[in-house]
Formats: sequence, C-alpha cells, structure tokens
Amino acid sequence: MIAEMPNRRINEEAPVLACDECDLLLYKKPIRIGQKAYCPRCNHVLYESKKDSINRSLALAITGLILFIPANLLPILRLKVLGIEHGATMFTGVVSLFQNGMWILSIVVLLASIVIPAIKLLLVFYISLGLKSSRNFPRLAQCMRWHQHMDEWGMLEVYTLGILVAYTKLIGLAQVIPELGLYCFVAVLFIAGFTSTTVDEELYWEKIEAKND
Amino acid sequence: MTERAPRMTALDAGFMHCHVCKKLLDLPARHEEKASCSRCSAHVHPRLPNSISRTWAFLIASIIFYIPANTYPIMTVQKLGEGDGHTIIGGIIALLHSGMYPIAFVVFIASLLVPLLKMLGIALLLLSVQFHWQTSAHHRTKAYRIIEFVGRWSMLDVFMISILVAMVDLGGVAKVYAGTGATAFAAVVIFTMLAAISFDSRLIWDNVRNKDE
Repeated sequence: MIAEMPNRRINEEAPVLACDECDLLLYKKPIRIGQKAYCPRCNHVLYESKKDSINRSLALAITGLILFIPANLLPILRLKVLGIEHGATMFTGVVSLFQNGMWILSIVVLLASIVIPAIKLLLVFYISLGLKSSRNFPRLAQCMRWHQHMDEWGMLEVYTLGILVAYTKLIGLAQVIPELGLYCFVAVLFIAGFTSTTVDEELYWEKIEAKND
Repeated sequence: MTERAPRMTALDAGFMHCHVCKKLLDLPARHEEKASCSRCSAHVHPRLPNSISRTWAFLIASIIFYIPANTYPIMTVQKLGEGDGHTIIGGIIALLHSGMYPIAFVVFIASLLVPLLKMLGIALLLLSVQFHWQTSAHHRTKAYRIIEFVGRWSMLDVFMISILVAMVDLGGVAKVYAGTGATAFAAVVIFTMLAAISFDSRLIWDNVRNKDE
C-alpha cells in the first residue's frame, strides 16, 4: 500500500507522487503484479502494475488493427423488406448523414466510432514497438500524450449499444440480419477494451523517460 | 483510526504534478511562469487554469443546447412519402408502445436521465467549490467520478440514428433522415464531457483541508 507523508519534511531518496484527484502527496511503494495502489484519502487508483504489459499491449494492438479493416468494410446489419435488401457498414452511416446535410453529426460519428479508436490502436502499436526495440523511435512521448488525451473520445462500446437499439427498433418492422462485419466489430470492441487495460501508463512513461535520456 | 500527522498536498509542499504523465515537478519560481513537463513536455499547472469559469462556460453551453435537443426531432421516418418526426421522448414512447421495455429503459437512462443528472451534478460541484460547502468531499469525489464515467454513454442515440439512416434507405418505401435535434443532442453530450474534463477535482479537496477527510 501507499504511505502518507509522515511530516512536512520530504525524504529526498524515496520516490514521491501526488494523487491525480486530490493532490495528496505520497511516497511511492512498489506493488506486485496485478495489484493497484489507491490514494488513502480519496480512494483514486494511483497506479497499477500489469503483467507483461508491453508485449500484451503490442499483440492486442496488432490484432485490433487487423480486425479493424473487416469491421469497417463489411456490412454490420442487412435489412430485408418487401424483397428489397440493404446492407449498412459503419462507414455508410457516416456517408448517409453527410449526404443528409448533417455534416457536423457525421464528423462526430466518424471520429468517435472509427478515427479515434483506430488512432488509439495505432499509437499503442507504435509506442509498444518503440519501447521494445533498441532503436530510436521519434516522438514517443508525444504519442503517449495524444493517447491519453483521446482516452474518453473513442466510443466503440457506446456504438455497440447503438447497434443493439437500432436492431430492436427495426426487428418488428423488417427482417434484420446480422452480418460478418458485426462479429468483427464486436471483436474489435473487446480487443480495444483489453488494450486499454493492458497498457501500464506508469511503466510506459518511465520507459519513455529512460529512453529519452 | 490511528492518529496521524497533518496531511500535505503537493501544492503545500511546493510541487505540482503533470496532469498527463503524472510526474511530480517543482512549482515554478514565479506564479505566472509557463512550465512544461520535463518528461512529456505538456503544459503543467498546479491546478487547471480557470477551471471553474471554463466548466461553467461548457455547462451553460450544454444547457442551451439541451432545449433544441429535446424540442426538435432527432430523426424523421418517411414511409411511402409521409414524414414523421421523432423527438427523444417520442422515440422512448414509441419503444414502450411496441413493448420493448428493456431497450426503452436503456434509452431513457442514456438520453434523458443521464444528461440531466450530469448537468445538475456538475452545477452542484461547481457551487460547492465556489461557496465552500462543507459536504463530504468523499461523496463529491465519487459523484465526479460517476459524472466522468457516464457522460459518453449518452451518445447512444446519436449512433443509433447514424445506423438507422444508413440501413433504412429503401427509396420511396421507407427512409430515415437525421434531424436538427440530433446535432443539438451531440453538442449537449460533447459540452458536458468538456465540462467534466475542465473541472479540477482537486479543488474539492483544497476546500476541506484538514477537516472532513
């Protein structure tokens, strides 16, 4: 566990950190793999140690990037009504909105459901590869910073719920068939979720700092 | 509980921590000085600059957009040439009429309840910091975490519409168009997310120093 500052003097030798949410100054204690360190005052997760973080994140990012292609290109759902069939990919949703004249909305959907999740996977791939390799990868710190800023704006899981709601709305009116793209999309969703839990931000930053020195 | 020495925040001790990479840095000698992090080169401030006024600005923007988001149709369903506009509430009622209770409940929470509670919650957090309310800092931190977590889920309706627009495109038979309400609603969600991000949760704890801990 984390130890509080015993008094107003700081032991210069011990590593020190501040809680992100309440700014309490704390001594950093090493934790075992799989453990989390909590702030004793506000209970915020300060850092957590993850098993084989870089390798696992790299593997997941590669898998996610590969699956991203069929998830976006293949139709997700197919609608069958009165002999007319119509399939929709994730991208046709964006295009139809744009053609409707709802270009702001189409950009929001494009960013949250396709662009940001893809960039996040690409960044994890690049940073993890950079930290594994002995060669010099430029702009690792900048990439990591971008990755952190994008965290909230990728919304694959919300999009999935959107598919579910659209599906239930249509199922009473027409025949709706889930397509291969949907399965790829759900796989990407899970992989993107796993990737964000395997990236040990503390470790990544320490390694980036060590590499830059 | 055991007796303990007075707690100290990073700011008290003359430190500030980088909001991006969590590195602990010395406070700049002069307050106005612009500091950047030695590890990730992000701009560092002991507290987010103008956190309260920025959060109010985003919050007020989201409240303004909340009105057209609920009064204008979020989508129009055209069947055999006849258009039929749906507002957010109308969509929930339609789901209820067709007996889709669980989905109606999910949409009700994500599109109606969450944005309202979120705006109310952020306003209360802001007021509590500005007027030094002595309500439990633990509860307020918990509220802040919930607000931060749930925000993105309100995008559900926006994604659902983008899928419907792409799928229900059967020429003269049936077609779905996105409405102005959808853009306004996306703006509500984005502005409340920005409000939550610009709120500095450490302000909650600065108020209650050495009291309610």
